[in-house]
Amino acid sequence: MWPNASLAWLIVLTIQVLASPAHAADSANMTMIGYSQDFRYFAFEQFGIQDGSGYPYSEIFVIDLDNNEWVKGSPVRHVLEEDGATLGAAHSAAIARARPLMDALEITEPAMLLADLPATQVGLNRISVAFDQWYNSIAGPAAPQPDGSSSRLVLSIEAIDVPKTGACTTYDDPVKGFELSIKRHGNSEKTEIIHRDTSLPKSRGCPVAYDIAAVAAPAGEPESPTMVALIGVYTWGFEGQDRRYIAVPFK
Amino acid sequence: MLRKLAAIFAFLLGIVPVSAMDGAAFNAIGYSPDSRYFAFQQYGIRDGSGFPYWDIFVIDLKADEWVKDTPVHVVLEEENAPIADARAKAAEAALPILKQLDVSTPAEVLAANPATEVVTDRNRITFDRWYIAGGSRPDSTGGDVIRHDLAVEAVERPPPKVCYPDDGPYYGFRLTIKDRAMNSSRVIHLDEAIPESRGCPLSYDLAAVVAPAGYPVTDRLVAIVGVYTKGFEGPDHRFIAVPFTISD
Repeated sequence: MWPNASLAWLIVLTIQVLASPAHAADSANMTMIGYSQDFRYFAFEQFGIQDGSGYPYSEIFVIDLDNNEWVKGSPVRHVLEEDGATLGAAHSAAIARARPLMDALEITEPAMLLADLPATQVGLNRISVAFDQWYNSIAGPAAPQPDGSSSRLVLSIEAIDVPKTGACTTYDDPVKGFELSIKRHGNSEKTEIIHRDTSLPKSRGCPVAYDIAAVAAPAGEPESPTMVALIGVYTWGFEGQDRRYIAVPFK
Repeated sequence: MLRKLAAIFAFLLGIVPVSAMDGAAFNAIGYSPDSRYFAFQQYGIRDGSGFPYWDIFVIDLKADEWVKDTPVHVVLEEENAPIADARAKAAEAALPILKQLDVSTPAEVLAANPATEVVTDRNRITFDRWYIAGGSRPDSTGGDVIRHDLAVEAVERPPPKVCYPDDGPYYGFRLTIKDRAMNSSRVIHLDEAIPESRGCPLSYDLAAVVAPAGYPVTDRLVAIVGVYTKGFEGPDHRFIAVPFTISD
């Protein structure tokens, strides 16, 4: 049975899990936990069933959006290395461990997804994603072509070459960094670069590809202080390319 | 009240006021370990009033009906009330039920089209039950690929009692699942009439497809159908869960 606290956290979360049978390559679940009251901090969870071992895991990331860095004490990584352990139990354990940090930062503000591109959905353009910053209360869902008052944004990602360093030098495949850029409706000539890797942080592993997994914004806070692009990072796992996530803040 | 006035003025001026968004956010809470019960929540800021709301639905997937004492609907009818407070209130009401039914298994979202995302066709979703290394592409295949097409279609139905007939026509929906490997289709839902709980629906779309995470003993999927009803300024967006199963 779950303690009340863990159950309460389930309600807080947007949950998205992509697991595959027979311990094949895995695409992690992605969960928006939310923003701090001052919208400076953002937390999300990724979890799933590990490629190869079949162990359930849960990892919680807490990001300082102003400085674009992990908050000290984060990420919290929890793997249940026992047969028959459930995802629910891994999730619950990781949440319990991350809770003091999230409480201290007052991460209480719900997030919502403006765009969501699960790896199991077919036919999506994951390299360039168009979305509105808020729901159009007059016209309804996002139209293919934005009108004059549209809050339309287009995020694009491109894999770029970076030097091979550390553990990645043993790989035959080239390792890739990425460039993330945005176009704003009404300002179509200008493409702003949000992020561009010049080298790879050690924590990223040896990525071979990237895509856009989701875009998060605060719920009920329409003039969203900071949005977050969740980037899918593909690395070679035991049986194929695994998908994990990193968060990139943007305005 | 100020927000409401602002919304009216903005409407008259022909601009989209940021305070008048009312496309609810969808969020899967999870399943019971036997996949019989499923819970989700929808939340946002009400069109017109600017009040935050938070709804929690708990569904008996086997019986295809709401669990007793649900859904939980919370609206905070005060100006600038934080949406986090609406969540806290809804969670308090739903927790005993979720705990009793042991809704502790996370859900996985197999496909999702938020209303703010630009998608080619809002009425169709193609998805794979399991992740294919590298991600699902139209041309990706393999022994484990089980590809499904889900489609929603609006069907005109008599106006519900609570709706002005002149503002119609009003629609129910038909939901169809197709298994590409078997080349077979079946209707998983068809409204004979529009249920009163649904309001005055003008159109539908497909918001998401959800499944139990991990290796479920019983694999019960849920189609999350978006319902557009007449709101203060334009269409409000809410969600309905329709259970279905696939063979794999």
